[in-house]
Amino acid sequence: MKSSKTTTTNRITSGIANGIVAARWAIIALFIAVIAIAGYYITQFRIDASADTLLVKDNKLYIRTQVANEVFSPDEFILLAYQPKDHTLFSNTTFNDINALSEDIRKLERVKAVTSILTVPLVDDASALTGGTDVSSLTWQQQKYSPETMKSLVSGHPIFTDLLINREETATAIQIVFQENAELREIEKEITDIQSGLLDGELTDEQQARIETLKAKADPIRQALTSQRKKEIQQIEEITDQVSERADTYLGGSYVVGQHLIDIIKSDLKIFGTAIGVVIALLLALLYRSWKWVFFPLLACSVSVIITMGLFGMLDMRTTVISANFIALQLILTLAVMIHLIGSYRDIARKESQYSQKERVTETLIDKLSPCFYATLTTSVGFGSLIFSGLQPVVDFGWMMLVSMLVTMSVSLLLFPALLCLVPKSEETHEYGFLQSLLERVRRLTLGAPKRVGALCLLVFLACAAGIVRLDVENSFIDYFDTDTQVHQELAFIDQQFGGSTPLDIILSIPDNVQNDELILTADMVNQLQLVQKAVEAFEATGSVTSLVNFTELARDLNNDKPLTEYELTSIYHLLDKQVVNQLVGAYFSGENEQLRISVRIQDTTEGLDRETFVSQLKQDLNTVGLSEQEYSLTNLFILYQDILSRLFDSQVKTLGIVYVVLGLVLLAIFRSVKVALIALVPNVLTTLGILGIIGWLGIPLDIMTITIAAIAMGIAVDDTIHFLHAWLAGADRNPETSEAQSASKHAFGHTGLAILFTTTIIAIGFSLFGFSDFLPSVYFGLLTATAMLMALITDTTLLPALLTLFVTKRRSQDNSA
Amino acid sequence: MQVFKQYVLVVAAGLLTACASVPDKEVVADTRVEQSQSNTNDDVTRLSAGESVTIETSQGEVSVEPTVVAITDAQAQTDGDQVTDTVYYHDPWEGMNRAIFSFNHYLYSYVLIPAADGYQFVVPAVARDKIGNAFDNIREPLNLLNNVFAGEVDEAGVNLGRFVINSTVGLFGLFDPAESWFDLKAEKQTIADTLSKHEIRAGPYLVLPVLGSSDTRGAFSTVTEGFIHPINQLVDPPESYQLRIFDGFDDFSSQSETYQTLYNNAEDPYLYFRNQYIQGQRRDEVFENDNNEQDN
Repeated sequence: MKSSKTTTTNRITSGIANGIVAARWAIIALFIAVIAIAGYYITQFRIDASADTLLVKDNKLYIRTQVANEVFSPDEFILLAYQPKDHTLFSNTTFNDINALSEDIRKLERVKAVTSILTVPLVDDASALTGGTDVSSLTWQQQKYSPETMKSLVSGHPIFTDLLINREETATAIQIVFQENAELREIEKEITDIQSGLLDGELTDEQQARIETLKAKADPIRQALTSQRKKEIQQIEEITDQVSERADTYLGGSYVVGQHLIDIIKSDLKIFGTAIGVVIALLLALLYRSWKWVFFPLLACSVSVIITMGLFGMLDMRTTVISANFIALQLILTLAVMIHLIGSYRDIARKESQYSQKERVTETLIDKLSPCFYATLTTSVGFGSLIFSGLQPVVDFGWMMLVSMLVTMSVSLLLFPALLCLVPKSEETHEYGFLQSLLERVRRLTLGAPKRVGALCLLVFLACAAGIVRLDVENSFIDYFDTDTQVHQELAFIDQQFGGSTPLDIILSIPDNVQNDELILTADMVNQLQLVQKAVEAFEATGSVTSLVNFTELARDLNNDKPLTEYELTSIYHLLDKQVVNQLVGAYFSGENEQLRISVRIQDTTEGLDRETFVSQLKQDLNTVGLSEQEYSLTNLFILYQDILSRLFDSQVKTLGIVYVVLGLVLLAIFRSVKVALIALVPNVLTTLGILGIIGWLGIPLDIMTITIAAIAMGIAVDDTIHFLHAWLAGADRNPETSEAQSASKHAFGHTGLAILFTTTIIAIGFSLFGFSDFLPSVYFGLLTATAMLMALITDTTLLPALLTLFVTKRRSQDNSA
Repeated sequence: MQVFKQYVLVVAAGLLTACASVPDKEVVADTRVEQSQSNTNDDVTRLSAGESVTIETSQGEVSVEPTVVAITDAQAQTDGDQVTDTVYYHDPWEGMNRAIFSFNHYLYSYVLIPAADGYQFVVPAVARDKIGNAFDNIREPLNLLNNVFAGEVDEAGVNLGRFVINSTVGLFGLFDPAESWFDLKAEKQTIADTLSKHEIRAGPYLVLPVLGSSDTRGAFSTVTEGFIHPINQLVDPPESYQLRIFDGFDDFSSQSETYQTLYNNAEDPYLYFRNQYIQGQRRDEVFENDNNEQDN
């Protein structure tokens, strides 16, 4: 029964193998056409690395943030900090520099306003507000205040401290406010209006379709904006060069971070993509000592990547910060398949030297077609599990890897053999003796003492996995950059000295019972707001905190330290020019929507900041100062990231759970034995848990980038497992003279074991190069992937054979004898 | 002259009733308690009443000072730890006040505002500024006296210095070198301020013809100052009245736009101006004497 089934499978495999060889010209022609099409679409391949892509977009928190942005329409701005080297901050040198910089920056196309301590009205008593004086004339620009006067006017200013001047008064900042794109705003407004329906229920298909059209319309504008921003940052950096002798300048703000992310990811892709390519080529040359085996793997790799990029371009799948690694991953996985095919081919060529080239290729395919197919299939399952992570950017990554795996599978199993048929057959070099003897030693060890080897391996990996309890979720974009880099220093300076980086908004709705028709805002409402603001300011991690309260504090200062009455506040509101009012407080108060906004920036570099505790303490404090849950909402990036982080653990557990189950089922389908499937799962489970444990032991925070490592580890480990297992089972009844285990292990540790060793070596060395990156997620990705490779190698060559010897091959010999 | 007689009558009547009719009990019993806000947050109520509060957050204790207050006659009359969130404006003569208020409004709309517009059009801002300065300077001895009676010797010294400097170097007060060169800021003090210092209550709200919002204490102050204003020493009636009226008109001209804007924005302008006045007065009482209160 069993043998007949095996032969059927074999017959199908050899049928396909012969088919591939026979149809080689058709396959080649087809691939040329596909590559041509992909080449056309590759121009549409895009990296969209804005921080925006890291967000989960169709949840309530995101929509609420969008709605709040629409109500308060806060300005898009970046900060340029100026820190004198030798002169004092309040000096004419500073003022002249700031003035000159501002003038140049103002000339940039999209700049709406340039605000600095020189352009803001500085008032030191209330008469300026109530009398006939034109407040807007009370600026340095118009009055040319002396440095001493400036110092007295700016020091401890309730609005400008943390925004235009740091607390220590060692640096001042220029706020560069940008014009928003009216068309984009219109479109976004409409999208938000439709989406806000989601807050109450489902969207209709029609609405969904409308959103899609709108998004498509917004897209080119947004892309133009991104490249415009990139240009602006460069221009601003050029402008600041003029003062570089006298002062240090720092550029910061939430989208500068995004821009730096894009830059660094792009340059990483280029530098490390190339470096890894070169290293892979060198290693291939060293291991095979044959041009052929350098050329074909690299060809297969590049064709796979080109087709995949073309497909992404065609399907408009954007690469984000997270999925930017797909190229590196696809390189590995293609290479792994190639090395297994090459290993088998070389083995056949050496053993059956009389075979023609076509026969060799056919035999190779018969030997490796099904393990390679199953290996890519299971790898796809590993990545496919990310689709269930529930985190949009990770879901996208999952889809992208699925597409990549399909391409890899077809290139390596169709194109490569087709091309290989065209190459004249030649003598194959011998494998390195020391590698073979190393494998032989491992084989003997696992065969001789399977229990000890298995136990030791289990122990080591469980010790690693114990680190899982130390896993922590955190997210700080600034920490993504190496501390030595200029980017990190600039961002950290702005973060620490000028009020933080990641925005957090507290939106207070004004309850009906505190309203008064005569007053714009009652004293009670302002005081409630102030209590909230003070509670927020009390946190170490909160940088700049701005709301209406900053203005009422200023008013109290100016009014000889007497508070305003609620009627005076209303009077001032009416008396000021409507446009001025909107400019000043529009971002903090919406009379129409009866909402108040406190704009907070969180200092990402705060030592020991635990964001989860921060949010829960903040909520508790808001309750203490008298706000119920219904009266406020927390929005903006900080909350959105935090929401993602809070779901990371669940998501990690869920994806791993799904991947174990599905993989178990696939393995069951492949090997048709519950026991084998379970044993095959063990090295994979250990590798994934081990790598998570190492992340925990090393204290690397689990974030949206590192969460994908476990799935990657799985995808890689399962490759080795399937090849090894397949070879083991195939070898079990090859040699009737020796015991089954002997024969099986000989076969598995033969060219398959060697191929596993080769892939691991090449990939681990190649990926370690990422260790030189300045972008920490790349470093983690590279080093952890390399570690995952090594772990997979270890488990698959020690634990797996040990378990197989203990539980599978013995039983099978009993079956046979029975 | 006619105007002043009226004032004296009103003031006399006001003083009589004022002293008798501001018992604490009435606050609670009064039917015109406009709204009792169902705000349960004690800290907010305290802040609005002008008190500083300390809140206990996860990050430790944070003390908060109010920046906007709503002190009505209800808050002004409660003592001790208890703060009330009742809103009450002491305005027993609302009927009469409303009548005067609307009379004033017609007067402003059809006479004073057009006149002020013309004045502003004819006389340049710089000149108006100087005229204002000169009138302020003439008032300086009165400020001095009031500060002396209020026991505020430092301020009185400032008044003296300002008067001497501005009258001489400042060319009869047209310029203000006392502030710009000697950093002596104006320390205006009226009889009402002095009375307030001696804890004499303001009494009911009162709208004065032409002059607008006041209270019995304010009205008394205005009228009395009419008699003892230093300008009387410089010129004789009726020129002194004309000058005083011109002073008032000059003041008004700088406020006319403010008045119109606020009047047009208010739902019930009478209530708006009344509440603004009373809250401003109560706030000043609390925060002028703030230091004393804190010590107790």
